[in-house]
Amino acid sequence: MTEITRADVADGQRDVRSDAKLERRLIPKALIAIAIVIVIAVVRELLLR
Amino acid sequence: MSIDWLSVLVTAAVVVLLVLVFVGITPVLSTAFQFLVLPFHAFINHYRHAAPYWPRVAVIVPAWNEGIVLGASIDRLLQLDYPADRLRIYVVDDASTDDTPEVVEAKAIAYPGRVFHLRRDKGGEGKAHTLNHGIARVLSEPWAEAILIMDADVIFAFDSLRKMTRHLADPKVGAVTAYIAEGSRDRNFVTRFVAIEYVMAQLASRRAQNVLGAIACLAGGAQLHSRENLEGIGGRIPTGTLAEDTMATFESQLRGKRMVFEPHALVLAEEPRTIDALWRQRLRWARGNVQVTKHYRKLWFRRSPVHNLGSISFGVVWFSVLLLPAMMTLAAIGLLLLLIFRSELADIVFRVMWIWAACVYLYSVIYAVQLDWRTGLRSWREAILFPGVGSLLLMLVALFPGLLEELLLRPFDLELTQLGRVGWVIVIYIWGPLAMLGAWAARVLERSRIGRVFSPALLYLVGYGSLLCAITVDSYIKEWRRADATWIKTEKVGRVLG
Repeated sequence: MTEITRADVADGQRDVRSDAKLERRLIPKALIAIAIVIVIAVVRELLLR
Repeated sequence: MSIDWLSVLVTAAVVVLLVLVFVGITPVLSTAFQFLVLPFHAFINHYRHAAPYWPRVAVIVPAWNEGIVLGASIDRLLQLDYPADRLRIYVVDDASTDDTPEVVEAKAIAYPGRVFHLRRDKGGEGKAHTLNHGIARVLSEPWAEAILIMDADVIFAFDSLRKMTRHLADPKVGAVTAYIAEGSRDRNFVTRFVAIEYVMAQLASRRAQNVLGAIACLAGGAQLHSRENLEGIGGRIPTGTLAEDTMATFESQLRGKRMVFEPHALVLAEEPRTIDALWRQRLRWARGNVQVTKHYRKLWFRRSPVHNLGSISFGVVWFSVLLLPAMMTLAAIGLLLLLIFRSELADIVFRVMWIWAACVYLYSVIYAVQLDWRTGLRSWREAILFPGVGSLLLMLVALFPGLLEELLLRPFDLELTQLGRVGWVIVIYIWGPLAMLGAWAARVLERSRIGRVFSPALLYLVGYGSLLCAITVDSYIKEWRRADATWIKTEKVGRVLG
C-alpha cells in the first residue's frame, strides 16, 4: 500500500484551506449581484419619473 | 343593518384568487430563498471537518453498450491524482451487445488488479440493478473502504476524487457528490441551456442544501459513499423507482448520515443535444421524483432529530420544483379570474408578480454566472434567455408599463383596440401555461426536417424553464396513467472533452 507522506498530508490540508477560502468569495459575488439589481431598480425609477 | 352578500362573496373570491396567485409565485420565492442562503456557504460548510484522507476506493461503472466511451473513462480514472493501489475499477457490463466486453477485458489485462470486468448475462433492468451487481461483489470483499458510483461517460477532473474523499474523513458523512458540468466538445443550444441549468441547480442550489443540512440528490454520475453508509442502507441501491440516486440519498440521510456536495470536485458529463432526448432523460428523472414524493409521503414537513429532510425549508424547495407547473397554472387561473372581478387589482398583482420575478431572475443569473465563469461566458445567451424571450418581455412590461406600446405601436401610429387590449392582457396573464405548450410544440416540431429549423427559436421564446415544466406535467400524466416505467438509457457517444 502506498505510504502517505507528511508532504501529502500537508498538501491535502493546504487544499482544504484553499477551497474553504474560495467559498468566502460567495459573499462578494452575492453583493455584486444585489448591487446590479439595485442599480437597475434605481435606473428604472429615474426613467419612469 | 343589511349585509351586501354579493360584495362579501366577491371579496371572499378575490381573497381566494390572491392566495392562488401567491401560491403561484412560491417557486420564485423558493429560488430567491436558495440564492439568499447560498452566500452563507462561505461559513456554513463542511471544510472545517474535512481532512486529507485516501481510503481504498472501489469505482463502480455501470455500462450497457458503452464501448464508445468506456475506454477513455477508464483511462482517465487510472490517471486520477489518487494513490494507484487505493483505486480499483469495477465495470458492470449489463449484458452489452456492442464491444463493451472487449474494451473492458483489454483494460483488465492492461491493468491487472486494478480494472475488473463484471458481466451480467441478463441486462436491461435499470441502472440500480446493474449497480447492485457491482456493489454486491465489492462488499463481499473487505478491500473497499469507499465506493464511487459513476456513469460510464463522465470524465473526472484529476483532483476531483481526492477532493471528495477528504469529506469522508468525518465519520458523520455518509456520501459526497461532485459538480457535474456539461462537458461536450460540440455544444449546441440544448447543451448550453443544460450547462447553465447545472450551474444553478448544483453550484447554487446544492450549496444552499449543504447550508440547510439536507441534500435532495447525490448526482448519479458521481456519488462517493463510505462503505459503512452503503452497508447501512442495506448494501444496495434502492430499486423500484426511476430515481435510484435520489432514493439512495434519502435513505442515507434517514439513517442520520450527512451528505455533502463538493463544488470544487469537477466531473464532466455528456448531456443530450436534442429537445427530444433531453425530454426522455428528464421525464425519467421527473417521474422518479414523483415516485420518491409518494414513497416518502410521511416524511414531508415533519421535523426529525435525525435528519433535515422533513424541514419546512427543504419541503418548500422540493415541492417548488415538483409542483412548479401546477403552481404556475394556479397563478394564471387566479390572475384571469381577478381580471373578471377586479381588473385594476389584477393589473397590480401581475406587475408585482413579474417585478419580483425580474429581481429574482437578475440576482440569480448574475450570481450563477459568477459561480462558473467558463460556463457563463460560453453560454451567456442561454443564461440571459433562460426564462425565455416571452418572460423577459413580461418583465419589461411589468417594470416599464406602456414601454412595448411605445416601441412597437407608436412608431407606426397604431393603437390597440379594446378587444386587442383584452386579448393581450389574457395572453400575458396565462403566459406560464402557454409557454409550457410552446415547449411541447418545440419538441414536436423538432421531429420534422422543416420544424427542426424553428424549434430552437421556439425554445428561446418560451424558455428552458418552461421546457422543464412541460416535462414535469408529462411526468404527472405518465405516473397517473401508470405508464410503462422501463429504464431508458440516455444515449452517449463520447463527446466529452478530456
